[in-house]
Formats: sequence, structure tokens, C-alpha cells
Amino acid sequence: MGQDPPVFITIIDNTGREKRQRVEYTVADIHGETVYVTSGGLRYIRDSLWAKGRQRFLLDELDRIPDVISRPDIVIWDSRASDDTLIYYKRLHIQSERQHWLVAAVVKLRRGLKFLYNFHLQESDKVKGYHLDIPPEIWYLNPQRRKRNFGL
Amino acid sequence: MRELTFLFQEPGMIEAIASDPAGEDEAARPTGYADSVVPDLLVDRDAESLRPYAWICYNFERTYPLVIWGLKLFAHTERGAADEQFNIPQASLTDVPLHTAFSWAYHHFILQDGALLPEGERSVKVAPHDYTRVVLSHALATVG
Repeated sequence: MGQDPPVFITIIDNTGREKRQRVEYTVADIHGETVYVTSGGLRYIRDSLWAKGRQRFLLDELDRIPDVISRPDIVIWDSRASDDTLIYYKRLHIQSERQHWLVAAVVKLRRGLKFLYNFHLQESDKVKGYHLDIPPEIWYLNPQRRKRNFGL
Repeated sequence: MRELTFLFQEPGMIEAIASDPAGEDEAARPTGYADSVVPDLLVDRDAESLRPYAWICYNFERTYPLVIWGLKLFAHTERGAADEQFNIPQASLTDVPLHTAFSWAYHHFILQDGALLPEGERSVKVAPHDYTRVVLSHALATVG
């Protein structure tokens, strides 16, 4: 995690309105770019995981978000928003489940700043859009992994 | 009948989560979000029955016409989701299909909350079976 992140940051919503968000912490991603983790983003993730009863065990793994962003297995551009959405994937061993799960950290770019938007379980070995005729563009691939390990 | 709960985050992250009001299905195991037949829509399923229980779209503010039309045309081809109807307490809607549910979500979270409705339409009450028509009409009206 980075040191002394700004307490608040201003983002622009769909309609051009400014919204202040409290920054909980920042993470330097695999390419050294800063990802802001805001209170609003974390609140959404907690609410979402709680509502999805079956994914609730991931609530105990939220402190591993920085590891997913800074040391991912693969990062792709979302093929449906290839100008502003990156998805960081990492296979984690979940102790409480006694098994490995592929998890996804969804990061949106707003006016040059990167924000964490979601964190959820992903189908094993298959990134979003793997089946498309034009597969998603890879932004980063861990040298120890192969893209076929992710359906690409 | 299962209930749907929607969660939304700017600019267009939308999730719909189905639950049994009796709460009997929450201990089951998930598959994790996976591609569906509908563009930009990921589906999480019960790992045993493969019945869908959660849907997510990262870019709903852009892809809503594809998602809603795809749900209308292809939802019946999704394993375990054939013609299921849902109640949506947060919208006071009962017995509606997924494409109507997602149409309500676009109308509520993006058009209404984003103040994108024309002034004359802001206080107009939309009938449940009309949400898809209203939202897809909005899509056509905004084609540049």
C-alpha cells in the first residue's frame, strides 16, 4: 500500500456532477500505477458480497485486494469497455473453503485516475469475454502463467 | 417466487441478486461469475443445480440496450433460467421477467437518479410491462 494517500478525491459521475470520495488506501499495481480504493468502492463490495450469500466467505479476504492488484496472474481490458475498465485476476487459496478460487478486481479509469469498483469470484480458469471471437486484450500476464490457463 | 435485489455503482456497475425469501439457499456453493449468452452480462450459479442466482454488468450505462434485448431474446436459452419471473421489493414490482427487471434498474438508477429523463417524463409513472419499451425507446432516441 502507498503512503499518505489524499483523504478525499473528487470524481465525476455520468452526468458531470462532482462527487467526493474518501480514499481508504492506495495500491501500486503491477505496472506501478496508483489504484485508489475508496470508502464508496469498499462499501459496494461489502454490500454486494453480503447480498450474494454464496460469495460471502470472500468478505474475510478483502485485505488481499492489494495483493491481487499488485501481483495479479493476468490483467485484461474489459472487451465491452476497452477504454476505461481493467480486470485484475488472481488465483487465491481460500483457507476457509480449503480450495483455490479465481478472484477478480474490477478497476475503472476516470479522467486518468484508477479506482477499485468491485471484487468478486470468477469462474475457474476463464476470464470475462474468453469465448468471444475477438478475445479481450491482455494488459499484463504473469510470466509464470499461460493465457490458455484463463481460457484465452 | 424468488426476490431480486439490485445494487448499483456509478458509472454503470449493476448487480441483480436472487434470493429465496425463506433464505434456504444461501449456504449452497457458487460457480463464480461466468460469461453468459448475453453480451457484457456475467452470471453466477448454484454449483450443484447450475441455477443462476446473481447477474452482473460492469458497463450497464453503455450496454443496456444489448443486455435488456439479450435478456428478452435469449434468457430462455440460459441453463436453469427458463422463463423465471421475480418479485423486486425495492421497485414494488411483482412477477416480472429479467428483461423487465433490468429495464426498471436502468430507468431507476441511471435515468431517474442521473436526472437524464426529460422534464415532462420525470413524474410519469411507468407500468411494469412498459419499462422495457420506455428504456429501449430512450436508447433509440439518443442514437446520434
